Amino acid sequence: MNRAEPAAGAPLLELEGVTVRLPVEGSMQAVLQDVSFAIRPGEALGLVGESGSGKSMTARAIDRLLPPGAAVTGRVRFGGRDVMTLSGADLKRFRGEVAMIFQDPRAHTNPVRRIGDFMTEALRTNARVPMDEAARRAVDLLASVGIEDGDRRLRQYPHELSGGLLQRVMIATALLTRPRLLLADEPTTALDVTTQAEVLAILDNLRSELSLAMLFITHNLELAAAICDRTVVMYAGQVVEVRESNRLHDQPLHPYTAALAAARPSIDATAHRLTAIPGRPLSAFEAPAEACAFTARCPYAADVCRERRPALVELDGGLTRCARARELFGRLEVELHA
Amino acid sequence: MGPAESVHLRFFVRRLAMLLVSLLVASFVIFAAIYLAPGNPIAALSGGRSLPPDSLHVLEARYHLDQPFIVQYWYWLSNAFHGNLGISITLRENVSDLIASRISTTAGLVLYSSILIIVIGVGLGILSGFKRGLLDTSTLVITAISASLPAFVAAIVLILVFAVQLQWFPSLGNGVGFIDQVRHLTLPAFALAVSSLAIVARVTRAAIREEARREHVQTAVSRGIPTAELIRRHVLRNAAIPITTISGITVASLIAVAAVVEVVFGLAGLGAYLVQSAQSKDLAVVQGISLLLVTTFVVMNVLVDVLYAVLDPRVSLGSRAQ
Amino acid sequence: MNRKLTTHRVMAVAGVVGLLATACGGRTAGGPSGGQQQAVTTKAGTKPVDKVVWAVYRDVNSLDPIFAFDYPENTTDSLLYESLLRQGADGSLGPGLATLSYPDQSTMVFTLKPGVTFWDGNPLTTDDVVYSLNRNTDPALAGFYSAVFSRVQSIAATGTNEVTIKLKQPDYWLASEMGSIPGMIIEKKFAQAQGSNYGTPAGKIMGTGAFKFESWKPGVAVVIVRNDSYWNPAVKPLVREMDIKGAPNDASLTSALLTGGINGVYAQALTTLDQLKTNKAVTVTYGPGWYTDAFIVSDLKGALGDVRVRQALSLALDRKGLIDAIYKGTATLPKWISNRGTFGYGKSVFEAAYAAAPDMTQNLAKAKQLIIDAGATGKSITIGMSSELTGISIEANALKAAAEAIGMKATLHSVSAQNFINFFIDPKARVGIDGFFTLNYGDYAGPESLLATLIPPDGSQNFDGYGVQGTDPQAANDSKAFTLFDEARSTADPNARAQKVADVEKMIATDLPWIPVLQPLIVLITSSNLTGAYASFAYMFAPWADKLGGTG
Repeated sequence: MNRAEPAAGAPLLELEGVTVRLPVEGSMQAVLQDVSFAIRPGEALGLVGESGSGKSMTARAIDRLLPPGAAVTGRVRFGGRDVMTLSGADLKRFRGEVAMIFQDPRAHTNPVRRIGDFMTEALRTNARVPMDEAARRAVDLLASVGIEDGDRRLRQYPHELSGGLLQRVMIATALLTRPRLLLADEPTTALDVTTQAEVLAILDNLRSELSLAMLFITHNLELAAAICDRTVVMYAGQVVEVRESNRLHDQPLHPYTAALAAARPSIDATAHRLTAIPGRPLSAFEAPAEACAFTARCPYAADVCRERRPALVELDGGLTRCARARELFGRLEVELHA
Repeated sequence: MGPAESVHLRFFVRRLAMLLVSLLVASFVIFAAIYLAPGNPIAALSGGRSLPPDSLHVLEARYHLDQPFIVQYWYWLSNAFHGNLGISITLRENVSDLIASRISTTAGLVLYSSILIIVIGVGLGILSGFKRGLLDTSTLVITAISASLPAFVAAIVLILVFAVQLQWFPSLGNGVGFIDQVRHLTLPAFALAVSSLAIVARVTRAAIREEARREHVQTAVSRGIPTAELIRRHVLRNAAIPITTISGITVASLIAVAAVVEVVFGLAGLGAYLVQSAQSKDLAVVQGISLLLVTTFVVMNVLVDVLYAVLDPRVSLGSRAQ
Repeated sequence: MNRKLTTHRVMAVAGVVGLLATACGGRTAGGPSGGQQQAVTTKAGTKPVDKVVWAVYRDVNSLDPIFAFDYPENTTDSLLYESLLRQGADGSLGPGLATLSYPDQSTMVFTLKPGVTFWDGNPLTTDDVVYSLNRNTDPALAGFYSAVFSRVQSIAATGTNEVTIKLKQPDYWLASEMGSIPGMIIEKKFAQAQGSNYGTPAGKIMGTGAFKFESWKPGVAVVIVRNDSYWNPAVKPLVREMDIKGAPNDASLTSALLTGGINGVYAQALTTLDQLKTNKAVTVTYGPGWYTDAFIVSDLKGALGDVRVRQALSLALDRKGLIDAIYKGTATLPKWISNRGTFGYGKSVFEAAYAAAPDMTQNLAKAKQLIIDAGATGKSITIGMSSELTGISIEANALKAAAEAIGMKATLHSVSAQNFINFFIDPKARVGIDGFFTLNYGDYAGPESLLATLIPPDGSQNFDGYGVQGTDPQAANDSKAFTLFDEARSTADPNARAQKVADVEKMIATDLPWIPVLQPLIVLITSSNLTGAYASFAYMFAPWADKLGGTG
């Protein structure tokens, strides 16, 4: 295997050359290009990139939530089965095993349904769990995410809960069907800093407790490093680096990762965004076919970068999509920190 | 639930007070308008004949027409306060009896139309909201045309096609017995419903489209909720809020438009009677019907508000949030 | 003295009526010729009919004859009530519930027919007659016919079967009124029990007619049914039930006639007549009308104060165009103010005088000369009208065109449809206008019944003071007309009376206190399987549906 997977064992989730095209103004435009990575059971994988880099689209592709008309090539496997061909009871079971936590809990809960209804809906309709049993489980899980008065909360409406509380409800809800994989799409971005930390702590604890696998999507490199074992960095719909999280910040392999690391303050610092990377992030379909997508913003861009799109290459236990990776290895962090 | 109940009580008390004020203001304005409007109730009464002076005095005194405006209004108001809406100058009968005999026609017409609007309009909106293609396109085109079709024109077209040419439905009068009355009300109800139906269909379609795009629907999809449940519990249920609002407003407006349809189809309804009475300056009748319509309108609005609060937990009675 | 101000209805639906017309059949121009006399009835029906829906132009307002003053009430009341005397379809006056004799010129004795009963079986008594006639003049009731009784001294029962009217001075017009609405009899006991509810939707009524009252739902219909115990066994109506209902507008009326929702109507200035004429579902019959469309001169102080100007306008008016535009040809050119259909007595006298009179045809050259003679060139008249009333509006514009064609100026003063009535009842509304249009008729077949409102100085429609000495100095006959007219009222012999009235007609056809425009025919429209209704204006005052029934 040509992957940065230190341990053996069959992966829980596996993406292989996933390319997604969407109809935009009449023509099909790529939003993901040749995305490949894998998550082992119980592993937390970070997925980092700027807005528009394809992080959320990757999660959607995994969960089959792509908008109508989307064309997918490549393969997504979950527990060895091809996700794209699932249907009927298999699809239902898959969705029970893969739970998603969204960035904006307010928008992702139906405002006219009570918390209890929201939480237990899947249990009741799919698993045929009786209402009181489902409610009991919901209260238990609410307690485990730090919500003690679960009974009362079940009767409330989403608008009666704060954002942090609602996201904790979302987490509890996601866990209710006993999934094997969590897709957490920027679960704390919409929350204030203190709540962010609380929610992250809860998520991290529960995940380890239940030995859940997780795809943790964030634009914050530090955050991914704090939570995840490994991190995938995406740019313009492409994976540009895969690396052990603890080495990502100090020894980035790709100039984009290095730039992200420099731009983001640590998790403890204030949340104001720094735009240290000059230029505008590209969408996948804006990326040149015969060049490195990051060329336009890369301080190390050279002729070789513009000749063809670089492949993912292995380096120092990780993967990187940089033509000059070896040449630059060990220099990136130094220059950026200088 | 104590505070909520007192909030609700306050809401209803406030609306009741608003209704009373509306009625008082409306009664004065209408009385004044009819009083000031050209024409003479006695002229309408006598068909314009120059009545013998003695008869004239008797009639004027009988209806207080010889008194100054404010005295006439006071007579009317104090009687109305005691539940006596006065006497029709034209028919020499109690206004409340005359109105009562016509309520069922207008109520039946509005109810019939409302059913058409809600069943066909909402149904069509839902279908075209979910299914793109020929049905959707043709619904869009047809509703665009019929939304701007005045009830009066719709009535004439319906009469021409279904009464004169096909002879399926009668074009005039109320009918006797339930089935016959429904037959007689069919063309009027369609004429009354056509434009509102189109508007409701379009709003429903847009609401369905919008609700189907909501992020919380994605949540439900991601949780594997079956499509039928998904549509019912998340799309339709949420779209019901704008649909209810537009339907409520539409149905309330039917009461006003009903007059036109009643006149064309010769129905003995309140709207046609209001028009006829206003023309003959039969003041007590105009007042009686107007106040009934104002009351109905206010009550309909309260109903929509209550329904709105029931449907949308984010909204509490008395505060319409968007 | 009865009159109708205007029956031209608001034609808000004109465009739509056109739609109906073009969709349902072609238009044919022209109408029946006015030259020959029309039949006064249609062929008697032969087959029983269970139910007929008859349309009137608006809902019935009252079923009390003292308040019957307009088409809907008259049409209904003439089937329910009977009058002391009766007008035939041809306008001739004969016995009704009673026979009339004149012991002297100031005494009218009515002898009640034996065996007459009300619907409830009670016999007709002199009490009922005295009560019914006196109701007309009871100020507390404020009935519409009190002026008819202006020469009456007393009304009293003078025998078990005899009611005598004592007159202050001879009045040979009262007899005809007793054959019309004011002579209709109701049951005293019943009416007293009903009190103020009598004739209203809340109450019931009691008459002697061959049809009896069944129910009245305001806005829906007055339902009357055949009175199977009618006192006169010779009369057996074929129609069991008749619903009399207001037809809201021409378009609705037309579609209902074509679909059988309405089975009959006496139509006026119907915009869809051409379409109905060619449709096999209905039969259109023309009969003699008793009414006149005229321009009322309301101010003699202006340009119209010169009789030559009035004559010139009359000569310049395009009457044929108006007959086609408003009545689709179903009206005749006038010679007099009164309609030829009103010759209910002294027929040969009237006909001879009428035949000798000139048609009021257009003659612009003569009209221009008259304006020059009168020195009225450039003078202006103001015509009161309502642009919301199609017929009135067409007439006003035609008169304006006539005035301008002969060198005068004319201004139209338009008011709302509802307000139009004020020209008749409010002197303030007439300030600044020289005249306005009307469709008028009397209570019975006699030219004097209309003339009585416009010739006497106190006539209810004598707005310009014609007949008052000196008001109209250039008019040849001025006060002479009134003197002769008053004489006629006291003239016992019908032919002598007719001669006097004819002479008055001749005078006012020259003096033109009103300028006659046209004289509409009766237009009776029924389902093609119905026949037997009156085809004359008598339907307004006499039982017109006794012989209505199914065809062959």
